[in-house]
Amino acid sequence: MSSHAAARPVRRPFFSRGTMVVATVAAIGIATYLARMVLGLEKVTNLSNPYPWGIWISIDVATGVALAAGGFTSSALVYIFGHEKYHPLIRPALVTAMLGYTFVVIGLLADLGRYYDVWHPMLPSMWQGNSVLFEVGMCVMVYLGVLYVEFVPIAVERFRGKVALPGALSALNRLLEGVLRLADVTLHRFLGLFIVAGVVLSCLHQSSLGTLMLIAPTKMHPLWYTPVMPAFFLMSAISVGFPMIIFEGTLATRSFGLQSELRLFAGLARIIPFFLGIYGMARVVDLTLRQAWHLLWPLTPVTLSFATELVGGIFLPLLLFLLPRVRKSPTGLFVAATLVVLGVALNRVNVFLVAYTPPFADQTDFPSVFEVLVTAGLISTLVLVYRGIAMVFPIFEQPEHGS
Amino acid sequence: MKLAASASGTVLASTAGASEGPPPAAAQGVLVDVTFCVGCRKCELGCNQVNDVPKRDRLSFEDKSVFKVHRRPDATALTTVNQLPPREPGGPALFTKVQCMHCVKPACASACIVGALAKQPEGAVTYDAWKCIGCRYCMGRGPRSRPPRGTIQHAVFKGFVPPIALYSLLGLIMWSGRRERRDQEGEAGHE
Ligand code: SF4
Ligand code: SF4
Repeated sequence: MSSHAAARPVRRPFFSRGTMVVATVAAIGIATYLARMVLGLEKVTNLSNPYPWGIWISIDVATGVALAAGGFTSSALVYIFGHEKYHPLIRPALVTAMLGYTFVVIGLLADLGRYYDVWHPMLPSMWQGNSVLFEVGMCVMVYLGVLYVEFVPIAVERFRGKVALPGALSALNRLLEGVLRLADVTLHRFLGLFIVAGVVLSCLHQSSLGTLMLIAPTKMHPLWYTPVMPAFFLMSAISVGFPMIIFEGTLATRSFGLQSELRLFAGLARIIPFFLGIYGMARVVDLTLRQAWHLLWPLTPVTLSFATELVGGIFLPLLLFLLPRVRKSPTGLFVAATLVVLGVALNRVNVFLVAYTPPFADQTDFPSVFEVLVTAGLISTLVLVYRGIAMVFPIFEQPEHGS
Repeated sequence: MKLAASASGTVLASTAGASEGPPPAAAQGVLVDVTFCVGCRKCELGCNQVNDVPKRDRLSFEDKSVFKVHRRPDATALTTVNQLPPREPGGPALFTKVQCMHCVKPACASACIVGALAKQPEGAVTYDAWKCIGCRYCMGRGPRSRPPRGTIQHAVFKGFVPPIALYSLLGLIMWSGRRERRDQEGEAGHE
């Protein structure tokens, strides 16, 4: 594993002006989160009987899972398809996926009416094999474990032989050192297995997230409701993987003052149109076969949202990624990648919220300010933890320190 | 009569997707003939008395002003009666009640992640509050948006007791084995 020998912790002050803003949002969000845990859903959210799911499901969970797709797409690219040159992108993508899924679980806890019973699906006596949600839950849980295992070698690399806890905790030093050594000698034998498992599990639950709404045909707008929704969810997850790597890679390298991975990004940008194109084509064919195009008219906020998702989130970035000029420019790449990321996020919100119209709704569902605060807070906390991890662990490749 | 029964959406009604396939052999059923319904709300009273919901004063069920708004069942009322506009201007008022249909193939039960919702051999779809984690996947999926679970609402169905039959005026709600009832209804449909 000499190819990422150059990955080192980022040396920078943790707090900058931007970080302070993010930290404030995070603090408010965490406080709101705790308030929700104590007060219950009814006081804090606008969720109701007709609209049982809000932005916590559509953004924190569904979008969170989709945007963590950089993890499995990059490891498939490097480890399964053998494109070694992209190795420097693996670790940042892994951290994004690991934190993404961790925050999916934290966000899901807020949404569960009885979050203290979240362990129930683990008991075989309560397994319900017919439930799509059960499949999603199990997959996400196992995949989260796999992601942490994939992270272990990074922790070993950083801390093996260097464990030195201060004060009373120093009693644990030897134990931790032993654990790290054990992990070091055993893990590399199985790591391949975990990597393949990670890719397979991702494909499974990315698609079954799209199956969740199949059970509610009468409540979903026909522009979105199609039996191939699971395939669309998988295709869009695969198409958003690399754009997400470009998106967060650009932000991270700028914020850390590192050299941009432009050469690698440009390489990814040549692959993206392939996946994005297949996804876009599939959406068009689906609408045509179902003879659903006419539903776009008359224009309402709902149909506009559909059009935006399709044009702004798929076809515009597809066009951009096809232009060599865009692929050569960091800004061009960033804009195109951001469009794909926002497009997929909009798709998840559309499917879980916008397309959903219960037949007996007496009110419309608009997220309460607290729901928004929690979501914003979770995203901000994720960004802060990401920053912290990049400063402690060898995630980003960079030249010798001091340059 | 057939039409009326489906409109009421009770166990015998065949709402698309809700009751495809044969019901369990031992299934019990309630027939509601809404053409007779006068909106007395006695079924609501019975529902309130036997189910694990906040108890309400008997007299409050005499209040007809509730018909001003369309009410859906929720955790405090598992059965609601609503008034519908008459068929022709000046015609008699129409009433119908809403409650869980105890579907033959319950979407809610197939959705539930922990099997808290289950179809029993007698036909009831029961809810085990202890298992429920409050994900609310069941709520969005069933055709009737059965009263929800989790901390938003706690609705507990304890087995399948048809108390409404006891309270019913005019015998418009009847309780019997589902198979026999369907045979009878079939005959009635031919009249
Ligand atoms: S809210 Fe409870 S009963 Fe409904 S699907 Fe979730 S766990 Fe099952
Ligand atoms: S709650 Fe379940 S059994 Fe009752 S009407 Fe809804 S889907 Fe059917």
